[in-house]
Amino acid sequence: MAPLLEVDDLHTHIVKPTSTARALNGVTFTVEENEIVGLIGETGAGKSLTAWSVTGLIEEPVRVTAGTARFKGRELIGMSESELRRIRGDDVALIVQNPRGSLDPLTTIGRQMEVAYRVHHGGSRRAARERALEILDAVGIPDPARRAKAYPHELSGGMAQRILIGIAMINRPSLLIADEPTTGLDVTVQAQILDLIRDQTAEIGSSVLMITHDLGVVAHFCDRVCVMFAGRIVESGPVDQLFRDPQHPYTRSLIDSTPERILAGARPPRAGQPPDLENLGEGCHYAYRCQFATEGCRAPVPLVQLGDRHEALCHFPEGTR
Amino acid sequence: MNFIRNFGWYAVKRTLMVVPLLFGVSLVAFFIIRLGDVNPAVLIAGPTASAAEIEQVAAELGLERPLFEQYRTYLASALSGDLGESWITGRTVSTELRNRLPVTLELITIGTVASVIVGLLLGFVAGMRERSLVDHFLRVSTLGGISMPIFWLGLLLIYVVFFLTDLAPPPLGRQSLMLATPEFRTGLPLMDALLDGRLDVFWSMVRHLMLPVITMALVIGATIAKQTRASVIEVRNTSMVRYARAIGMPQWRIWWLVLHNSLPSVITFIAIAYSLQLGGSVLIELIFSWGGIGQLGVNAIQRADYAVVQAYVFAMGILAAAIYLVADLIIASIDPRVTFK
Amino acid sequence: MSATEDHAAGSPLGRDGSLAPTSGDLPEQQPVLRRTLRAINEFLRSDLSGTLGVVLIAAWLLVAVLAPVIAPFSPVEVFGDRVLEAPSSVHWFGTDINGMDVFSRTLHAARLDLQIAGTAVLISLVIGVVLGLLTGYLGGWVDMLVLRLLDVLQAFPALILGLAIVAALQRGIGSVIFVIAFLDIPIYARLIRAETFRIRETNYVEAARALGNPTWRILLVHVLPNSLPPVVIQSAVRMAWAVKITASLAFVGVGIQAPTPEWGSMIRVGSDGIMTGVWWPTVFPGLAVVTLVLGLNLLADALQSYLRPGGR
Repeated sequence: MAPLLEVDDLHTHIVKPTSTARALNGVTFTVEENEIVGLIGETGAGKSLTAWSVTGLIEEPVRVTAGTARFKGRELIGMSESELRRIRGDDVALIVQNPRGSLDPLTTIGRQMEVAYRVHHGGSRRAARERALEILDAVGIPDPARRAKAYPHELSGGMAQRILIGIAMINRPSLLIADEPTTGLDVTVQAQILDLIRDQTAEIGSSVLMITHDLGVVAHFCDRVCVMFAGRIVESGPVDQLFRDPQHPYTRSLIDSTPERILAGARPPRAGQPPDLENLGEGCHYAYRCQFATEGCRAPVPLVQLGDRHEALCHFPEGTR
Repeated sequence: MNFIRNFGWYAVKRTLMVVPLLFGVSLVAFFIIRLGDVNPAVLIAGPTASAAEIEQVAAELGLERPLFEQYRTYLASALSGDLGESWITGRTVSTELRNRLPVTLELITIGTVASVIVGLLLGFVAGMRERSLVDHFLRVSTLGGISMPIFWLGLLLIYVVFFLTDLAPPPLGRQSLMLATPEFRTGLPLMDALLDGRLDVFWSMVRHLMLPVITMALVIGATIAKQTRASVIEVRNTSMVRYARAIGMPQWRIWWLVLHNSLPSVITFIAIAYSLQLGGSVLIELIFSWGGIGQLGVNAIQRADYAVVQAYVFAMGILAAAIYLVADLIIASIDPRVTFK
Repeated sequence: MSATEDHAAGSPLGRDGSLAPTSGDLPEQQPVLRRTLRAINEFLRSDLSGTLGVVLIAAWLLVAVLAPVIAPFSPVEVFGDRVLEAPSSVHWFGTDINGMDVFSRTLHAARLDLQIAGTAVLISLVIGVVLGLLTGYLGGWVDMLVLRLLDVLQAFPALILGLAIVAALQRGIGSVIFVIAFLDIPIYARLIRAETFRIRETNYVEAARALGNPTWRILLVHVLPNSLPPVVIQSAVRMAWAVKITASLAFVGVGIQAPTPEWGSMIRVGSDGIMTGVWWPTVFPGLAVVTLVLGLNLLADALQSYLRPGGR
């Protein structure tokens, strides 16, 4: 079966007059139908940028310089803006962090949901209205008819994020890209939001690309996970396998730095400096921070297959050390 | 969540806030003539008054009484419509205001409308298409516009458009001197001309309006354009606009989103522009001999007609306060965050 | 939820495209003077319009200082037989209706306008900052009262209030300076007040207070440096406005008396001639105003983009 989303060797650069930051350096991953894929990495790894690049939401001086991203077989990179607009919000939906900042403060949330619907389906205001109320109910907003008249600033963070989820699901997308949807929310609310996303997508049968920096989210929510560093996927595979048997040193350090592991006795890894995206070499981008690095790591890095859709981008994956 | 009710409360509160403001304005007007060393009675009675006349004015003003009582007298007479007399013309100040104020209001309103149209349009386009040709042109011309004294630009335009190219009528008033002025009904010149059925006068007025309005549009429009552009750019780069694109909104909806969200700032600028026009109209009226309240006020200042000066300052303060009140209410009707408590 | 918060949240779509957090040497470790000089150098290099503004302002400053030396004639010398002469090799800007040399007068007027603008803005800055600090610190009814007073003041169109006050005071330059300073005070006061309020609410002030530092000292130490950028930018804008309004007042015939050379009063004297084609007594002084005000505005704009990018 063809994958839903197929990103292959994506390169995105930020071109400034004095320098070029190579933010994405050959991102390759897939999202199949009906699966939840996590995209995890530290700040600046390129997680959000991948999502923006794939959906064509980047602006100069940020641009895609190479690579493809195929959604249901159609090439998204280079697609015309009008074509992309038909897909965005309809078949590929997006939710972001800071939900209250993303909604229009001058319009009621009910109206904003209606617009999200009508933009992709013509039809009467009444039909849109009904659909909006339906979704408001589905995402757990009590008393939807009354709440629909509220304005974004009247909502709590959690409620606002529910609205974003509603807007995302209103057109029954095949793929939902969730960009750090729980960052900034209360811990209890975070769990609720994640459950909501899972329920809604399961009901419609959407796949989810969950972008996060939180391993806990990955562990409890995702089927597969891709670990990103300096614009590359350094390891990807099923979640339980990755946690059990991480192959890439970076993945290992991520896992070792969770509170549970530290409590269990693992030594927390030393903190490292973020990579200098303007001066990346050809070889492994992680080498400067890696305790196992050798001279040989300067050579281009092979993608090592480790069984059941588990891959790592490393000269010396764990098993060989 | 009841927006209308919230707005109602806000409207009441905001309007009430104007009351102390009006008191403040009247106080300022009251004190204006008492700032210097000269006896206010002498100022109001005028340099040509006899000692007896000065005595009389002094008595009316109650200059022997404590300051507070003087203020009360002043306020009472002002509110009842008695604003004193101009010693130069002999007419009551309220008559002068009645004759002149609508003239200025018409000029300012047309000028502001023109400035707003020019400024909003250019500013919006420049903001949406940053670094484009329009944007660069705008930045250069707005810098010129805000750096030029409005009276100088007016004179320059007179020189070029009237003297050199003869495209505009001579700057000698609101209409051609060879036509009879329309009957005084509303006080608004254009309106009165129409009500009188005098299309020739109407057309003459329009021609005479050209230069003053263009001057105002260029100078004040420049300020509005600059602020609109900044506002639009600020809104464009919010996560709100990014998100709107992410959910697939067509371009025109995004334009509306940006415009709508820039409106509160823009309306504030328009209010500021309107009150700037109040000041600028003084200069415009002088240059073009417009015969409005600005010219009245300035002449009064130049020739020490202090009864008029006092009333003029008072009137301008009230007008400006009213403008800001209206602007605030309009913004509150658009932006629910203002009234949210 | 402000736009600046969003940018800080690490969105990769930051307008400058920056991704990785910057590490590197801490600029606070370098001596203050060197830092300031480097900053100025960087600023001039980065923005052409800012440099142009500085050049214009510097040029006029030079003119103002050197006017008595470089002006060919005295600004009040009357050439009775050469009234309203067009620009010539002798009188570069021509003569006005009183027979005075427009060029010399234009040069000398720079001294007056710059003096007035500089003095007035300085006074209003000092008073405004103190006022802002006071109301920000004291808060409560003091704050409300001062705010209402400022509101009343700013309710009037500035030119009109200025006109009336200067006319009432009936003194020359002093009252012009007074009025400009008076009208500028609210702007500085509000700026500092806002900053004071903002700082008051921060955590480090609470912590410092818990350690025993008096609140007023904390505010002073934190508010002043933080408000320096907007104050500097405002000052450039205020000076531009001061020049324009001095000219406007003089144009109306208030404040600066003849025959003192001032651009606005020169335009006033020259305005009668415009209808008959005598353009030079009006155009040249106006150009002077435009170039000086333009320079100040350019500087203010450039400072704005340099010190506060992404903000208004």
